[in-house]
Amino acid sequence: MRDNRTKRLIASGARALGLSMTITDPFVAEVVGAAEFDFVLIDTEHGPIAIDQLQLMLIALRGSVSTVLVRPPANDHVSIKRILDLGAEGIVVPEVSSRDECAAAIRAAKYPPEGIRGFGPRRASRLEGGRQAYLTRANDEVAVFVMIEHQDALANLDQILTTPGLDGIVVGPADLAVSMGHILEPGHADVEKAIEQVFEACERHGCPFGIYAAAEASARKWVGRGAKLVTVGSDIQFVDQGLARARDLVTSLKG
Amino acid sequence: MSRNELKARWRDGETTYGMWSVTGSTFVAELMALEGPDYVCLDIQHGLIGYDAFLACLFGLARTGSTPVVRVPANDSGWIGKVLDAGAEAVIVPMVETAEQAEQAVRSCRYFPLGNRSVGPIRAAQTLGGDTDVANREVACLLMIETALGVANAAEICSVPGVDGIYVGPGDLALTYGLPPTLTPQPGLHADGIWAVRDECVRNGIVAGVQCRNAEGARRMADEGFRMLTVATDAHLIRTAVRSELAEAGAKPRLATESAASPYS
Repeated sequence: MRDNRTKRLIASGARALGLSMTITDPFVAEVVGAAEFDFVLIDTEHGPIAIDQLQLMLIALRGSVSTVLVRPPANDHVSIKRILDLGAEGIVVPEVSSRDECAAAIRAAKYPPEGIRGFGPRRASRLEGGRQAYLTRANDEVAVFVMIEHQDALANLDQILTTPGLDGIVVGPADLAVSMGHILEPGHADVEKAIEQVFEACERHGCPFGIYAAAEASARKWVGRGAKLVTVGSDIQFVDQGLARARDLVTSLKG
Repeated sequence: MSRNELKARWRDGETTYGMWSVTGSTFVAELMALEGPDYVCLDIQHGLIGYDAFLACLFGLARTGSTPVVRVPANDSGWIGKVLDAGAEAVIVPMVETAEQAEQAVRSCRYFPLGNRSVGPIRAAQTLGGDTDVANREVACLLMIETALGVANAAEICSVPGVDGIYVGPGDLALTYGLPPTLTPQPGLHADGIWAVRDECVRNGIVAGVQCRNAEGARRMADEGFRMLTVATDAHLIRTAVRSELAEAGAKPRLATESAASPYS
């Protein structure tokens, strides 16, 4: 397996900026891979992506400089195992709200003795360097990020952020807002305050802070503050943005 | 990524080795390519590969260093343009028997003014790039001579401008000489025809390629001067590996039959 670019960027004090993907077409994945973001994050939690489609997307992304991270559908060791066996270079585990949940996510991604990952790196072991390299390096190179996206996590931040083996956290502002009762107002001041609280806890513990930035302003804000892992948008969002521009053009052409 | 590495190796005088895919499995195509052959050919003439599976296989080959080659079902400009648009960098056109057919195949591979390929490199723009002059230079046009008539017309076929090489199909060729299909040159008309095609390739400065049954066959044909050697097909490798592993494990043969020795899979 190759070096995990995103892990190295973060370890060197730099930040990794990428985007999330939910479109299953491998050609789109190939085009995104050629755009050379630091990472791409394939979202199998909310994206309509079956495991065989995920394999095809990973194949289409092979050779891209972008680290390929995958968000599993849940904090579930079976899903995580299957995703890593296909050759994902890291996982972003949704809805982690306690140290136990964080430790479970990390264990799922590591072979014994550090974890409980089952053996069967079907595609992963056939990539750069072959099987031996994969088996000796996977525990170190596979990145594990967990998502802080529920208000229950706020009381447990110190325990979560200091879990051994954790490479960083990613805030999910939308789910966090929903869990706080602000489904109609994700930008509510209480939500902003909660994100600040997560950020400060990360600073305190030296844990890399990441965030799903849904809009440019948010990406600018958090990168400026020192966030280490930021998604600056998603494929479908870019489609929406392109369509909005095209619609404006059509409107203006029609006078 | 605006260079056909296989063609570059031929320009450098190298002998190149490839694998042949008939299963249509993306993962198998990727596995083969990651072992470092000079090319992997996706056979959509005889292979069990629909368009979607073919397209997925191209993702499996991308950025591995193995050039994606495709054998099209027929000498048809629609098919040839379609596989090139998807990102094939070399096309093998079956059953070419005359110079006229050779010219038609070349035109299908080239944009104006060299040919009549229609512009629409939907995925190819990501691989060889969108420049039509680059595509005309880099795409390899390979023609199959695999009939007695094709051998008789080899001199004219090989001298058609724009032909990058001839890919000999010993199986079909054997049939047209009244022999059972085989990938091994049979002494007499069959072998003489194969050598005659090779000689015309050398005379015209184009590459001689050939389908081989296995490594032994490929070594022999390399010694004979062929520079594009397909060593084996994925199906043949799976079958022979299954058979030998079972035998080595001590399993009694149950279903293995004569037909399992076919070189065509």
